[in-house]
Amino acid sequence: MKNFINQNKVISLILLMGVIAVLVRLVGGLGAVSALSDAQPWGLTKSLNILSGAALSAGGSLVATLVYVFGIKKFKPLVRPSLLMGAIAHTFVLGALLYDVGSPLEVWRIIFAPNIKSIMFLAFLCEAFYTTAVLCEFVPEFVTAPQFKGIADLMHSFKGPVIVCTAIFAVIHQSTLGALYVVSVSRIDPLWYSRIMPILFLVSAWAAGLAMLVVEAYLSDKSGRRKFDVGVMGAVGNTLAIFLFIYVGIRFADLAIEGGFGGVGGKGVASVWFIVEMLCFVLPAVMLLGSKSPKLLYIASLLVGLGVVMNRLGVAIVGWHNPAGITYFPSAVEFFVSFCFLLAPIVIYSYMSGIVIKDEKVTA
Amino acid sequence: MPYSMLVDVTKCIGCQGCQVSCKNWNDKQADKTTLGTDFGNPSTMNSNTYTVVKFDEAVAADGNHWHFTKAQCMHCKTPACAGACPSHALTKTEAGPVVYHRDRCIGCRYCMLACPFEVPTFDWHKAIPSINKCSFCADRVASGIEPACSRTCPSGALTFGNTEDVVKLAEQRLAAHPEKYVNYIYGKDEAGGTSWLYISDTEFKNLPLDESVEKAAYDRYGLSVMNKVPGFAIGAAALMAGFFFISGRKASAGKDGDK
Repeated sequence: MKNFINQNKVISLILLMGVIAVLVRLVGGLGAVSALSDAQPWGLTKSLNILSGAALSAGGSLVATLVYVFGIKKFKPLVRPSLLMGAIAHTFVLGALLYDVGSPLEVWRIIFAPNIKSIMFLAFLCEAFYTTAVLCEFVPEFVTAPQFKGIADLMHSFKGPVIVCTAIFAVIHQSTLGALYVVSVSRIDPLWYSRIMPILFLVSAWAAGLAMLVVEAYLSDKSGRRKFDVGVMGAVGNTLAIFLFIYVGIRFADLAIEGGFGGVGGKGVASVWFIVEMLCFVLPAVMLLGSKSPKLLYIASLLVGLGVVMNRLGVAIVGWHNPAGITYFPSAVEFFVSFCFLLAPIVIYSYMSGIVIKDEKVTA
Repeated sequence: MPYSMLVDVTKCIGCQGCQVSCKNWNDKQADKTTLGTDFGNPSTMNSNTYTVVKFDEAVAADGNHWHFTKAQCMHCKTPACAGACPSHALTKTEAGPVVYHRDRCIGCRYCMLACPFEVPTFDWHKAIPSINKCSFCADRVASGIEPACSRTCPSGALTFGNTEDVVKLAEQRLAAHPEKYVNYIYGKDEAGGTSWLYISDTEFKNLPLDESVEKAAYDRYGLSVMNKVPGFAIGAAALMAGFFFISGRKASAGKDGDK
C-alpha cells in the first residue's frame, strides 16, 4: 500500500479526492454532488458506472461460462484475468449502485417488504447475487495462501454449482438492467427505447465483456506483463463478431418494426449520437471479419466498448425526454466521481494482476 | 368505498389557497420563488410542494382566456409507481390514496421513472432523503375529513366524494352545459383510470395535462418483463446445467483417455 502510494502519487491523490466526494454525498445528499433533478432522476452514475460498468465487466463470468459450461477449452488461459477483472469491476458496480441509491445505509430495508414483481427489486437481487457468485468463482482460483486453504478447498468443492449459478445470474442480471428502462415508455427517444431492451442489453454486454478482455490482453502485452496470444484472442474476436452481428441485427430489426428510425436525421445531439453509436457496433463487426492483427483487434474492441457506453448513455441521458425543457448535463463533481469509480477498479486490477497473474502458468 | 376528486377547471380562480392549505397540513415550508413567464409559484411540484396551480393562457376567437389547473399526484387505480417500487414503499389503499411509507423506502427513485405523470419528487439535498408526493390526505380521509385542498377551495373547483358520486357529478355537468364543457373527463381512462378527474371548457391540449398518457394501466410494462423471468430463469438454468454436465463428461472422458 505504502509502496503503491509512493509510486503513484497522482492516482492516489485523485482516488483520495474521490473518497472525499463520496463522503460529501453521504452528508449532503445526491444534490450536493450531482446535477440530478426531479426531471432527471437517474444520470451519469447510473448509466456510466452501473449500466456500462456491468456490461464492460461482463467478461468475467462469460469466459468462465464458455470454458466450464460450454466446454470451449480454447479460452482457458483467459479464465484467470477475466475472473479477476470481473470480480473487481463488479464490486465497484455494486459500490456505484449503493452510492446512487438515495439512502445507502437503509438498503437493508428492502428485505422486509420485497416487491417480487418489481424490476428494481430483481435488479438489486441480481446485482448482489451476481457479485457474490463472481467472488465465489474468484476465490478458489486465486486464494492459494496456506492459511486460507481450508476455505479455498471448501469453495472449490462447490465449483460446479457456483459456475452454473453465476452463468444464470449473469444472464438475468444483464437483461434486468435493460428491463429497468422498459417502464419509462414515452420518456426515452424511440432511437433507444425498445420493449426488447433486456435482450439488447444482454447481447451488447456479452460483446462489451469480450472486448474488454482483448483490451486488457493488449495493454498487458504492451506493459510487458503477459504476451498477447494471437490464437486465443483471434478466437475471442470471432466470438465478439458473432455477438456484434446478432446485436446489430436485432437492434435494426426492432427499430424498423417499431418505427424508431424516424429519429435519424433529426435535429439535435440524439441523431448524431445514435449514428456514431451504431458505427461503433457495425465498424468493428466488419473489421473482425478479416485477418486479425493484435492492433486491429484492440481498436475494434475499443470501438465496441465505446459503442456500449454510448448506448447506455443514450438510453439514460441523451435519449431522455425532459418535458420541462430542463436539459441535464452532469456536474463536474459527477464526472469526477464517475471517473474515480472507473479508475479505482483499473488501478486495483493492474496492481493485483501483477501479483496473481505473473505468466501463463494456468492451474488446470 | 374508494374516494375521488373532481377538478372543474372552469371554476378555478387561481387563488392557490389549495397550495397553502396543503403546505399547512403537511408541515411544509414556503418556497422562495421568482416571477417567471409561466406565473408558477412555484412552476413545478418539488420535494416541498405537493401541489401547484398551473397558469395557462389559451388563445380563442373571442380573445385570450386564462385557465388554472391544479396539479398533484393523480392517484391511479393501478399505480405504476407502486408496481415499480422494490420495497412496497408506495402502496394503493382501498380508500383511493396512493400512500408513501418512509420506513420502507431506500431512495432508488425508480418510482420517478415509472410514473407516467412524472409526479414523485426527491429530496436532492438531504442525507436521508424521502420521495415526496400528494397523499390525497390519506390521514384526513381515514378519519372522515375531506382533503385539505378541497376543504379550502373557495370557488367549488374541487369536489371530493365517493368515486361513483364524483363521476356522476362530472357527467351531469357535461350534460347540463354541453356548450361550455369539452365532452371529456380526463382521468377516467388515463393510465387505467385515476382517482383525480378533470373537466374543462378548453381543449385539454391547452392545459398542462398530458394527452399522450396511454389509456391502459402502466404497470403492465413492468409486469410484461417480470412475468417472463421465472420461465427465462428455469430455461437458462436447464440449458447451463445441461451443457455443464455434457462438457464435464467430455472432460473426464478425455482425461481417462490420456491415462
